[in-house]
Amino acid sequence: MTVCSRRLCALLTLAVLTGSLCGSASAALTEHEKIVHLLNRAAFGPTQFEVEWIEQYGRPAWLDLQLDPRLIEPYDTKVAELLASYPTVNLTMPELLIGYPQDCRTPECSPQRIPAEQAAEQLIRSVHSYAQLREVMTDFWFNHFNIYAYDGPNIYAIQPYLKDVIRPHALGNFEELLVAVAQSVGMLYYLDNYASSKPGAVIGGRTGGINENYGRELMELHTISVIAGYTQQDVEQVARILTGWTISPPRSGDLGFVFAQPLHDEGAHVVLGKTYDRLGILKGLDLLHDLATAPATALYMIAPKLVSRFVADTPPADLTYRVAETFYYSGGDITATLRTILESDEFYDPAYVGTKAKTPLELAASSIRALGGEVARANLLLRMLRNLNQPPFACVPPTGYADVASQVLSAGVLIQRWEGGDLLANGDIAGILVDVQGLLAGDPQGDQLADQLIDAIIQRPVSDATRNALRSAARSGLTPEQLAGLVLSAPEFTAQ
Amino acid sequence: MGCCDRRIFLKNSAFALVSLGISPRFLTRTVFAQSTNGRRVLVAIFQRGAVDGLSMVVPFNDANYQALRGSIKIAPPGASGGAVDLDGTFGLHPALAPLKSIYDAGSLALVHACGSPDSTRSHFEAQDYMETGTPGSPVPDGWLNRYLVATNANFPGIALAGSMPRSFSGSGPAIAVSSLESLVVPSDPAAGLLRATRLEMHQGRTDIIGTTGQAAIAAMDAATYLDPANYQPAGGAQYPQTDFGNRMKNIAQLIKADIGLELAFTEIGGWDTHNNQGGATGDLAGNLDEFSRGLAAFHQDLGDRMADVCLLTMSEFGRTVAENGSGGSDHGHGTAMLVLGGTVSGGRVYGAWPGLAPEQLYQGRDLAVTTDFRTLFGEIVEKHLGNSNVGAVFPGFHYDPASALGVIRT
Repeated sequence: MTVCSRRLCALLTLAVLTGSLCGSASAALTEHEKIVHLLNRAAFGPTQFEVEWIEQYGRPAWLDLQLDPRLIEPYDTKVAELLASYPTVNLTMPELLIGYPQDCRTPECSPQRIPAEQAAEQLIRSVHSYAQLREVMTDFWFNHFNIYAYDGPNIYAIQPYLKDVIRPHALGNFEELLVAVAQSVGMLYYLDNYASSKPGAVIGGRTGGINENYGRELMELHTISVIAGYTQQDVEQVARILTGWTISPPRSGDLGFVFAQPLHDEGAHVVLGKTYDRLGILKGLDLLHDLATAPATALYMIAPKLVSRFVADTPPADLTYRVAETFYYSGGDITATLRTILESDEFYDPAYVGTKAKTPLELAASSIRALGGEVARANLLLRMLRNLNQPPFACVPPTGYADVASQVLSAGVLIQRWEGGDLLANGDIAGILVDVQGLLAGDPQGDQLADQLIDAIIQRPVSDATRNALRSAARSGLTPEQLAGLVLSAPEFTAQ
Repeated sequence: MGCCDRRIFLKNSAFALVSLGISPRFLTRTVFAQSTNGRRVLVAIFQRGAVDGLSMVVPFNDANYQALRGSIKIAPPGASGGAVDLDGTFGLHPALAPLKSIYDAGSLALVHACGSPDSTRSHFEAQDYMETGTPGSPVPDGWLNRYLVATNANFPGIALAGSMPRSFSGSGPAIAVSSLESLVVPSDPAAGLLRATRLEMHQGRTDIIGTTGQAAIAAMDAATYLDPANYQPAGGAQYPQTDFGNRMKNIAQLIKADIGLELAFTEIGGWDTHNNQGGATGDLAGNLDEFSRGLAAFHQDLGDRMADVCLLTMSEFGRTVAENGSGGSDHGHGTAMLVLGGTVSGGRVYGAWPGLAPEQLYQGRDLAVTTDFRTLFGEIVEKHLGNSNVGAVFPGFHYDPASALGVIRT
């Protein structure tokens, strides 16, 4: 397909021009600051252990393991131990359907447990897993391929969506991820493709027709983006190509992807000037291949979104272009693409360090990690994420949750973040164990107490205003726990 | 903060300091010198997800409407689940019945076939275009923010929303809060020290974290003053027990508190009815029920104060005229908007009706747009808010007062 339009070429030129004009003003980061920055962006914040590990073995060794976490998986015993209290997380779909029926009347067998336990698993992994980057990317791809978990069959499908679709492909190949999403119950239901059929097909006594919802968002949000310039005609053709991609009937005792030939619109369809005419499901796979590997997907969608996530809310153009090149020429290799970002000079450019705001999940996980804490029970912490406006798997629009400061922060949400930090540090969120005393050496008072907590929790330079305010609060006789809550609300900890 | 006198609150309120990008000029300006009673207020409500205008304001006599809509059609007035007749041509969805008495009293106008001149059917592009007020070429700042800048506003626009809507983005003062209740911090002996420390840490920073931190302290002070948990709506108004209902209640309280509010914004989702939309009952009807009860309660609660208030609803586009393959409707073009308030010349359906015959449809499938949304919004800026420089709010759009719809009484 020809997705390289005139607009694309203009953008490329612009990217090169503006990129070359950018330069950094402030002093370069120290090695310790680089380690902390790497853990702030490629992980859910520094822990004492991870900082010391990297100091000993180096950032390249850490990154290699993060990009291929098979070697570290055996050490994730804490995760396994904590997940043992959540019975739904490893069940198969038939087991979920039998064990947690829709007509269940007790909390023990309620299907509501399934998304709640998935959220607990995500939080536990974000805090405790050594495969940190995979969890960061699980969060990234889940929001990229957002589904809403609390409607219809998705209360069940959310579990395999995370377990079998998003997490295993989070550091894999983009096309394989795209196909797995397209064939997931979660996405088929959420964007209605399960109910799209060739016009005139009869389903359950009703005459069907196409539903454009998935076809449109597949291009707009998942792959080539609106900048690519497709038309309404293209949307309808995509929807027709994907007719018959649906969900197994409820009476089968399973919920899964099926290709239903009688619902499929056979024949040739044209999308962005290319004809698709292979039989049945192959037509859709051809289309997904072309969308996954299109230059527009690399340049307009994946590269700017990843650079925005890892480097700066407004992605620097030169890096974005290099990342798009890696993504495109590697055939959508997510690991290679991340390496281009995380090994770039821009990643450690002082102009970008500390300019992003943590998302609610990043804030919660990094706070617990900074306080040497443990997620023994997650339910009350999940309530906090609801107050922070990003309850897990409950974003209704298909854009997923934003991760840019202008959207993550608002006056109202910031108050909730501060309050959440107070509760957390004071041990007032049941199930979350923290150890503020463990951060302190000796029995510091006043200024020393403030300084020790700043060093332990924020781990990078703070403004004079922040240090003076915290020292003054420490001198006013706050407990170390109360003071730790204040440190969590410092602008330097809100920032990433 | 322990203040209980309105004048002291207003004088000391950190609200007076709220500005994204605080300037010394801004800080030295005197705020709230005079009573704000009588100040015009605009409440903008975004129906995110593209509401089906043909179901809100039903062209029940149109043969094409009856033929194309299948299971999602609304029957003519008089039939079971039929539309609520407005003028013999159009009727309200039965779930909007609570608004009929406001229409009859002349305080509710409907504008049909309204929307954007841009053809996009992308939710996110179209929402951006409507919120920036620049269809086809979005700019960073929103139209409501440009109004604040153009009028040198010293009281922030308030969005009752989880995050700052694009409509309020920009250099003018604006804050976003989920609810007033969420701003009230638990009483704690250390609360004053915590507040002072946080203010000190955020003061002096000009980045988004710093300015949002300052706004948060301001909002906290305001909420403590307003005590939303003990707010009693007037006139027996019953808000829906939902986020939207609560946000409408919060806006009513902010207006009645006379603290200087001029622009408020909120949003309500759930309109993207691709599947099982339903007719007189069902998914869309349920959402419209919440929506109309929220608006009716707001109108009831404000009572006489409604004389200075204009409430405007909007949505990024409408939906296909024909039912789709799954009992729903796909992304369309023109939709209907509601304008409600004391300055509204209501009791009428405005806008040229383009018709629903195949050759009258936009791109052969959707309700055409005969009123550019900026014509409607511009009239509200000019006549309701009294700012004749509409061009500053909608750059690149030629607003002609002579061809305004006449929705606002002059």
